[in-house]
Amino acid sequence: MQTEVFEGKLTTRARMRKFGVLLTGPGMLWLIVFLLLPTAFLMVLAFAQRGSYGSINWDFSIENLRRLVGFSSFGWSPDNLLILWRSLKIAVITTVLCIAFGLPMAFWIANHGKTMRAFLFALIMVPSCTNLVIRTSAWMTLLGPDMFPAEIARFFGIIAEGESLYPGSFAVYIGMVSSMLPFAVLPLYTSVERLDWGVVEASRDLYAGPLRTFYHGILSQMMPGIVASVILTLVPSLGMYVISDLLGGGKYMLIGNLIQQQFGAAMDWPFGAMLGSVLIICSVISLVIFQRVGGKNFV
Amino acid sequence: MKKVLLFISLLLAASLFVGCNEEKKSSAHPDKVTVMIYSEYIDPAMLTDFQMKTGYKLQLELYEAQEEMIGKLQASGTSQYDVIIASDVVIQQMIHLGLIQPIDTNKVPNRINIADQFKNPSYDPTNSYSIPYLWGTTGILYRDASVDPMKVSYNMLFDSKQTKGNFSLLEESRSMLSMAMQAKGFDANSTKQEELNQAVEHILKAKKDPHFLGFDGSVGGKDKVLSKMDWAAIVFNGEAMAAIEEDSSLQFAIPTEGSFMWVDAMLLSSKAPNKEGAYAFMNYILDAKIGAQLAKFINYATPNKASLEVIDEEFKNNRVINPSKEEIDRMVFLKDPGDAARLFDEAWTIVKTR
Amino acid sequence: MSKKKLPFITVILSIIGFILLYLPMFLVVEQSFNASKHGQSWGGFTLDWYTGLADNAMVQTTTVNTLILAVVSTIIATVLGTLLAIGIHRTPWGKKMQYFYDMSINVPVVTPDILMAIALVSVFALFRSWTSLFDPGMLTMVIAHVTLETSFVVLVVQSRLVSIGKDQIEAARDLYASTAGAWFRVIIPQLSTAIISGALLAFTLSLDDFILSFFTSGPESQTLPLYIYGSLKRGISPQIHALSSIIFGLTLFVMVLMVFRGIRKERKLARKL
Repeated sequence: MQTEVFEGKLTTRARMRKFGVLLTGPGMLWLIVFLLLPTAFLMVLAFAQRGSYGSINWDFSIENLRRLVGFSSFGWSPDNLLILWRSLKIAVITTVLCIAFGLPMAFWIANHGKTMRAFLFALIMVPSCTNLVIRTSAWMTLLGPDMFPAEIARFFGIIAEGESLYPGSFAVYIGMVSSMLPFAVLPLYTSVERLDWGVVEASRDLYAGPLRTFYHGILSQMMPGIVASVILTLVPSLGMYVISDLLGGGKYMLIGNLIQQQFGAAMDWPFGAMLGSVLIICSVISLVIFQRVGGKNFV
Repeated sequence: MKKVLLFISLLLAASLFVGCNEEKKSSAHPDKVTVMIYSEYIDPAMLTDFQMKTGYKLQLELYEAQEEMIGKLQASGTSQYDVIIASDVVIQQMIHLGLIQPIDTNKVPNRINIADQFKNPSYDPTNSYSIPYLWGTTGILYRDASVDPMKVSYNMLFDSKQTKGNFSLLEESRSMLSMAMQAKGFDANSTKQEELNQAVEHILKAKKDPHFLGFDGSVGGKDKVLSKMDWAAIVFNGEAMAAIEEDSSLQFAIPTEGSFMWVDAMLLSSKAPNKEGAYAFMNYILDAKIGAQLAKFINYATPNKASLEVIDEEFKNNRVINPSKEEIDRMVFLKDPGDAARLFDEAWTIVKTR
Repeated sequence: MSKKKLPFITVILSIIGFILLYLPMFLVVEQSFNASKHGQSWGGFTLDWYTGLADNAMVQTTTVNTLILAVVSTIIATVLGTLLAIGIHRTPWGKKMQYFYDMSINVPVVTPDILMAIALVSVFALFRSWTSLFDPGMLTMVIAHVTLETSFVVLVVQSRLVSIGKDQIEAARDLYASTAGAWFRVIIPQLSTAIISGALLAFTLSLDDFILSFFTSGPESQTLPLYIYGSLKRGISPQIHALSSIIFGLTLFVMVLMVFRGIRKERKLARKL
């Protein structure tokens, strides 16, 4: 057997792997039984049909797939694609906004003494202990016509007399950022806290401008954190629909609504499973690629 | 580090053990009744009162949407529940899925209190699966003294010439599509694709009106009318009454084209572990005084004619809660669409996407 | 990290960020003292919603269940997730194995709650034919929550491990530390913030979850989110605002206490030096 050096120790690949299996074993066993097995079931279900009264009819066909790409009882329509496009748009804008606020927050928090830092960091998470629906309803009242945000907006002539700041896309983004921000800040802060500022000083010593220093000295070190932060905000926002329903007036359907509807009002589990399976497969593949490209090449 | 890990694993083992123990107790306890219900849908005072009167402990399991509740029962079985509270439109479905069983009428003597209109209803023609809990209507809540509530039409929302302010439609696929069909003069329970198509076009037209604010649940619509963001919204009568109590300039109307009413009924789970307890609960709710207390607490009408005799005059004569005979005649119960369910689903997707 | 001079815009954006997080919380607290039940306008000051909580047995039991569920599932998920992250990171897996791990970790993150709930209850129904352990209840809820949370812990810890890199452990080995010593003295301390972040994330995910809890819960294990969503049909009761305010206030109070203790410790340390 060939020996190699791992972590400064002479050992074999097989021994390292044996220990790796020991470490990942409990977690993987859990995920296989309670995650991969159920997901596999879901993918089988996707090819079944809705029976009468919302039961499941195990006649396998690709009807659900046809329906997914738009062949409905009313003829072909691009509705499902439109739904996907709208959901993606909201998720991407939310993520960009969250990183835009999250990065400075992470730096600002890390720039305090040890105790204060821990306090501020925990402060980020405290609002998340209150239920999402309650916080979102609070925004509904806050953005109503008689509250001060509307009055400020009126003062600057953004909205007319008697109008309110919701429902609308402005309110949706406020609500989305307000609830997703903690998930963006968490991994960002973890990587800012351990930044090697020596690199920054070296870059300054070499007469790099502030932008280049920020880009090469700081951002490249933080890339794994940024990747994690994008994933933790983008993916949940893609499935989120409660906020857009409450603050956006529910005029438009998002992918989350469409899936929820299949397990709710429509009681069409197989079609819901098909929608979900396609979504899961597409997003897992793009995520893994994104992690490879974003996370590892920079380090 | 090792000690910490050991401690944690002990803690976990202990907690799981406690969890399992509880499970065992729950399935072998004949002295409690488990009811599946919305939260805050029963007066908390009744929990202790029920235990005092019957000896059974009342345990609630909560749900948000009844279709999800049915899904859960389908997957996990009904053996943990005694009574299920669900509305008329899903009763036939639950019978077909084998989730509920017929009620032994002799065990519920207070059945004689049920008002005549809820005996042999269309949602339970054999009158053997359901006992009404509460009932309500659906209509338009609006802020306009110049419109007579007896002459309100759906055009108030759907015709852009008649909308005088912002309005919200109902965020419920089946109900909203049915109301749009009624607005077009069709049967609310129609499953004809052509008529559904026209209903979709009708809603889409309203959606283009600049006054259209969005789709809301009953509570959301009520809140928007109360805060003057909306001029009119579709809500249930319980919410309408709460809103009118707070602001007497609001009015509630059942549209002339018709609307739908609904009943939340008590059903017996098909594998009820405590049947006797379930009957005791149903009988308890049908008691004259308890029915009145429940109606007052939840702000909806009681299907219990004995309760109407003990309830205060103001509540009884409230036109929003107890509509006139003429208004009731305009209303129908919604039926399960059967195999047209997919049609409704796709129609709603179009309504919500374009 | 020593103190740096940050650009002014950083401070402004941070303040806006904190306002976005805390504005709704202040409204929740305000509403909990509002006498008007349907809560659109101010109807006078009242403590009724707080005293009402004392009589509401349902809210009390659901709160306790929520906390038990969150604490237990967070502990399991943090342990499993941290081990997974380390095991995946330090072992020279083959390419296929690496992909398998990456895929499996990402599945819970991208799966909408409702699908995970449906898939899990279907599989639980299958297991139930062998053992009654999988009857809906606290155990099934813990399983569902751990499954959701583990991946999030892995993601956070992994991102930290990647940025630490492999040089440090080699350096420690060069200084004659054992592998275990190097891990426990060099890597784990640096991981602590990430592990805590992961645990916090898991905890809040559990506290907020409705769909998974709904499908896996039994009559004995009702939680607060179930209560809150179950009351949406009739509008959220101000009692829930009161309860949220109590939890919010308690968390803040404990944190401020810890800050004072921390500052005192720092001062003592400074005096000693």
